[in-house]
Amino acid sequence: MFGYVIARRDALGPEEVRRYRGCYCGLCRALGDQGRRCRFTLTYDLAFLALLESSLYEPPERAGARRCLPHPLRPQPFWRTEATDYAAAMNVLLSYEKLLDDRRDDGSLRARLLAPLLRAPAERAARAWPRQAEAVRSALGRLADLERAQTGDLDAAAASFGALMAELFVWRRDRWEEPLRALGDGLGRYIYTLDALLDLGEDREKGRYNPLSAAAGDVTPQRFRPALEMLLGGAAQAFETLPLVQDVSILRNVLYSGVWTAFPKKEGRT
Amino acid sequence: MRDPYEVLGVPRDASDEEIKKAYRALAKKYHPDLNPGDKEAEKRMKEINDAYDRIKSGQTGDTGGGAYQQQQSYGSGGYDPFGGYNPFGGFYGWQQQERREAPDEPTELRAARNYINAGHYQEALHVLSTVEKRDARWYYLSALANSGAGSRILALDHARRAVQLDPDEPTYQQLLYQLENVGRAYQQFGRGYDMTGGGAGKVCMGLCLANLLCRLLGGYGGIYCC
Repeated sequence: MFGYVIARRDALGPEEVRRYRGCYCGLCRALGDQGRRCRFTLTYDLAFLALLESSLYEPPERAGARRCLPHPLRPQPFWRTEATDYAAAMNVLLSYEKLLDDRRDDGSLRARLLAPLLRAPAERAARAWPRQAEAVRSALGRLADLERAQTGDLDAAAASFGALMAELFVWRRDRWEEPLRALGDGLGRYIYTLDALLDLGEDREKGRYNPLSAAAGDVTPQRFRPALEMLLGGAAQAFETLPLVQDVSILRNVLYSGVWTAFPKKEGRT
Repeated sequence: MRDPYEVLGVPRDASDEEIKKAYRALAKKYHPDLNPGDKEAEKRMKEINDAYDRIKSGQTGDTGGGAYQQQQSYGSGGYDPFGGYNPFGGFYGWQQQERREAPDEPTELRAARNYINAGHYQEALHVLSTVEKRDARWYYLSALANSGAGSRILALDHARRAVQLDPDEPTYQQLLYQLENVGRAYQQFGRGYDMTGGGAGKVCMGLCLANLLCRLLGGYGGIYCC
């Protein structure tokens, strides 16, 4: 995905940093279980999912500390749950489908090289989670159709990505399904819209598709700030109805602060 | 029906955190997985879930709404009467007002209005797209139809245009207020959190080729392990 769903580290206390980092390292280890090569797909967005689902369902935690290549000397503490494994499966699934999409799109070398490496673990994940796999494929398909049509319909594109995230956020189909879906949907729409805003300049230069290319007037992130807050508002209303206690301060840090990390400081270039 | 605060065993002025903690503790105790076949536990679980939902949706059976409601301020959202979770569901109550017709209303706008009232938003958008003269009324109806069709960004934009073109019309202001309320609720929930842009630009989380190769060759990930 895009790496926008991250915490703002300087506002976390030492214990929160330990939990957040431990969750991220746990996700990395869970990815390793799906196949060593899966670890390169690691994203913070999916660490948020692991943290959220672990908080909601509180499955038993396994914790430890291990060395890894980027940290060869000092063992890195990690913790993981069944929710971490789920988030890892979703991470692989998303990365693989995105690579296939890129490969179809422009035959990118990167996608052609990497997609085959992820194929087996992604197929395993898709067999384990068919509903989510289908949602990822159909949403990326819809986005490709919109792109082919060169549509300026930002909402339709954002809604497609929202639908994808909505499905991923529903791990177990129980009484929390609707708020989880709304949370995923709002975050997904936000991610897509922010990405379109931040990429606009480069997309224009390179003649790439961007749903905002056709927008009238000066398209600045600041102009879209109220819309972005509205999209996050949908996510936040759903989030606040969930009975989250464990790590909730970190989750709120992400949702109310960290998601703005990539947003420009003030009026400026797009 | 029992008072939901009593069911959860918390005072009426309990904080969000206290309510959630109480709910979780009870849900753990009476969870069907831990009490297989226990009808009484099943009944209790249902009661606990209902109590939690009622507090969260503000249906606490008293007029004050409890301290919890005052803290939460959900804006227009929440659980809508149609049973689904829909933070943008605030409109349903409004459609009544849309039946009012202005005497000089062009046929297309009247048709769009009728479609919106009936919940046929795509048809409304189609009719609106055929209208060339885009005045405040057009933007207002377009905002309603787009909102119903799930096009939140465009709905907000068009509601704003309607107010710009006709700043004195209260229904336009009301619609804009209602749409902006979702963002306002966000700001309220996130009070105390730093919402300014970090200016970090696009965060490259390990999709740079160099990192990618490094990870692939090494076979270990976590370059970005904080």
